[in-house]
Amino acid sequence: MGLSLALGLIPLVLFFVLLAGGHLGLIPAWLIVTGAGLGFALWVVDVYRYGWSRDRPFVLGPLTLRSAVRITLIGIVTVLVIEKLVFVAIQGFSFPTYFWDAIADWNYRAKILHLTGRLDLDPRSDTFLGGVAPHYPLGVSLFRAWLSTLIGKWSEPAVAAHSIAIYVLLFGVIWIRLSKKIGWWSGLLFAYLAISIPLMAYHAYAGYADLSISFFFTACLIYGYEYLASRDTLSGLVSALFLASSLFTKNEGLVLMLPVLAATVLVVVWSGRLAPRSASAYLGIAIGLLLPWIVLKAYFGLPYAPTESNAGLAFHLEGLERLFGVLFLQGSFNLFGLFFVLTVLLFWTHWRRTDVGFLALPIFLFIGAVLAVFLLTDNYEFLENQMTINRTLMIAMPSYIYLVGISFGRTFLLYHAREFPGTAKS
Amino acid sequence: MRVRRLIMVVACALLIWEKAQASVPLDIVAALQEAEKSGIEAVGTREGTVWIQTSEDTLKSVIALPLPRDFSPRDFALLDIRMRTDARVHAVSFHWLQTDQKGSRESFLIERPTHRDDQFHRYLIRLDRHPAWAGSIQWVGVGWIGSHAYIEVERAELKTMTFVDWMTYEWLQFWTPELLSPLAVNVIPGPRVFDLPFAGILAVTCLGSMAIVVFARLRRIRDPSTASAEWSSHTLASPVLVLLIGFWIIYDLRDVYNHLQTLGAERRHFLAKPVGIRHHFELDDLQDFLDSIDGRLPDGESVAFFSGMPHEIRARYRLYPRRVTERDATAPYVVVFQDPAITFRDGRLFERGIRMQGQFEPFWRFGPSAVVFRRIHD
Repeated sequence: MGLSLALGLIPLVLFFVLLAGGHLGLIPAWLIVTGAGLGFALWVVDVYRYGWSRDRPFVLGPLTLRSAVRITLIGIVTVLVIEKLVFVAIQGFSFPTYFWDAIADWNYRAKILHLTGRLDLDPRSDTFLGGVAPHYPLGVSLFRAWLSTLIGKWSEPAVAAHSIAIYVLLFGVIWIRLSKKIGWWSGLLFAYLAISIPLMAYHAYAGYADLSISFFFTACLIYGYEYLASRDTLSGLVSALFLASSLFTKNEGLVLMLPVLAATVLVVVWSGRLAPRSASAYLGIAIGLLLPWIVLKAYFGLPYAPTESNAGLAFHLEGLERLFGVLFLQGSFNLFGLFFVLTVLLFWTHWRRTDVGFLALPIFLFIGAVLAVFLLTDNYEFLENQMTINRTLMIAMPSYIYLVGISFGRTFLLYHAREFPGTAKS
Repeated sequence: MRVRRLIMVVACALLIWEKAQASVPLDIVAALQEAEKSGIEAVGTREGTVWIQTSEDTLKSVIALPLPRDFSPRDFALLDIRMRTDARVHAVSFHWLQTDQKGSRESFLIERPTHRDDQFHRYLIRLDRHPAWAGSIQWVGVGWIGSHAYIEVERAELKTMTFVDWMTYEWLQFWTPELLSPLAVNVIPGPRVFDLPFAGILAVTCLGSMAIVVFARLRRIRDPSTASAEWSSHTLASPVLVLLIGFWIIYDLRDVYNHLQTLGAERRHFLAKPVGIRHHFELDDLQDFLDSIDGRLPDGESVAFFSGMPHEIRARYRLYPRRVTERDATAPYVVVFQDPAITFRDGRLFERGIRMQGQFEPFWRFGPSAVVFRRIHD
């Protein structure tokens, strides 16, 4: 979790440092080593206090048809997971940046930031806010620039390691968090579903920002839900930090995720499950951390939409047919379309009647917002030419799979989360 | 015994039907040597095959053949080529010149990616799917994309689509690996089986299997002799989810096949080869060329980048902080990568035959179509 948080928070800290006139080298390696050491020490203390593992250990019982199927499935899934990790690692570490947006925007910007070392605030300059697409948030590019600065030279493998680490962490976070609720092997199955979405494997080394924002969004929801279920303040704080990280990764963060999360928080407050003070603190942390970036964008008049021509309202219901093709007939998402329809039918009542609905709400709001952007605005162009529709839908998929994992556990594995505290005074 | 007999009868019927369907194919390979050529350096024959060497200075090459006057495209629905290509060939293309009823001519082409592994492969291109494969056609051509490439053609013919051809075509389509291209990060089209999307087929099959399982379970539940008092939705949902994951894994295995094919191609052409020989898909040796430039040119000197492909953005990224301008004839260094529009003669550079200002000298030659020129006089 430390690494996950670092991937989102280090760029924010770097941004503040650069905005204050500092340079990329100001956060040296020893600071990271100290942080990692501190994290390790906390983990050791945790293990010392609570024991090595609180989970049920794996016991090989008598061999039945059920256990044989389970072991076979675990074996197949493990091999498939390893294959993906190996494929992604070879692609990422053996070849220079290959995909278009990474060359034109994300990594090019990172290279400029690495070589200039500072944040250029002159809008007439070629290197203004990293040079290319200055209206894009700086998170991904700043982290990669900083990694290369730590190494001492521009390094393509280091840059690729950023995406690959996020892919591995996405798998790890879903597996570990689900394991605690539905058992390790069911958790493994759902974590596998998340990373085996075919498009996800390409994004694991492509150098785009879609996988990063997907990861931060998923982690934000996982820990946010954990907070609601357990009242663990640390989980709430971690969720807020992941939200801030997603807002600083892509424009979709501020435009789509923040309103979605704000609406969810309002609903939770309305239901009496969350005190207004806690809700304010949650949103305050996320927005507060982003405030300098929001002010900077407003000051320079930087847009949030790809182009002004795409910002207009227009009804494109003919896009539904294309959307059907994208979800059910093409190869980007394996059988996610069918998975989505079946699991909605299966768990809809569960989401409506239980607290899992608070996890489902932001995911469905986000999917709805994405569909609205593509079907009700001139961004339909990107659905028609399929330039962005697939990767934008991909953002919500890991969190949806986590939601199904939780619902599956509660419905069929008789897992019952600790009841919510009934008061709104926490 | 009856089943065997039935299979034999069906097989014989198919064979007879095949023979009845098939018309005499139009053999292209026999005419390749005498045909009109563009972008071809040399053509020859060896042990029954025709070998072709494409030019260094052009990306696209075509061998064009005139057709008999009574040629009817309806009788030739399929192009069937068996050939091997080296790593420099990105795609094979089929061209034709159509004359409409008013007498105006228009050319069309279909491109298909090649295997690029120096092994013989069969390529089937369905021409009947193209709306312009109709009317009066006087010329057809077979072409390849890739400069300084070596191709060996064993068979190339236009033919009728028989049942076996159709089956073979669909089978080959399914196993053609997804190409690694810059577009792959936006959308993956996915494999197709019998012209239907594999994902769609799996989804329908999965739904059908679920329906059967649910129906069987429901019958058992309703049967008073087997019904359990502890029945719950788990009884139905559990096999549904298991089936879903099973079908998900089947699709994933096809995806793994894609990954392995990509890795295999990369190992053959890039990872296991030294710099200067290795190629990375459609980028060819661009990355190594750009790396080599950076070490040779004086620091800070700007370059003009010329290429027949949209690689300028890659050059800009790779060479940063060096300034890269696109097709700027005034820059002190001119970097040319696979651009047939650029020619060099007697210290002069020409773009599409028009002379660029100043005198140049070859500064660094990385490969047959990857060269840097230095301006010596304005």
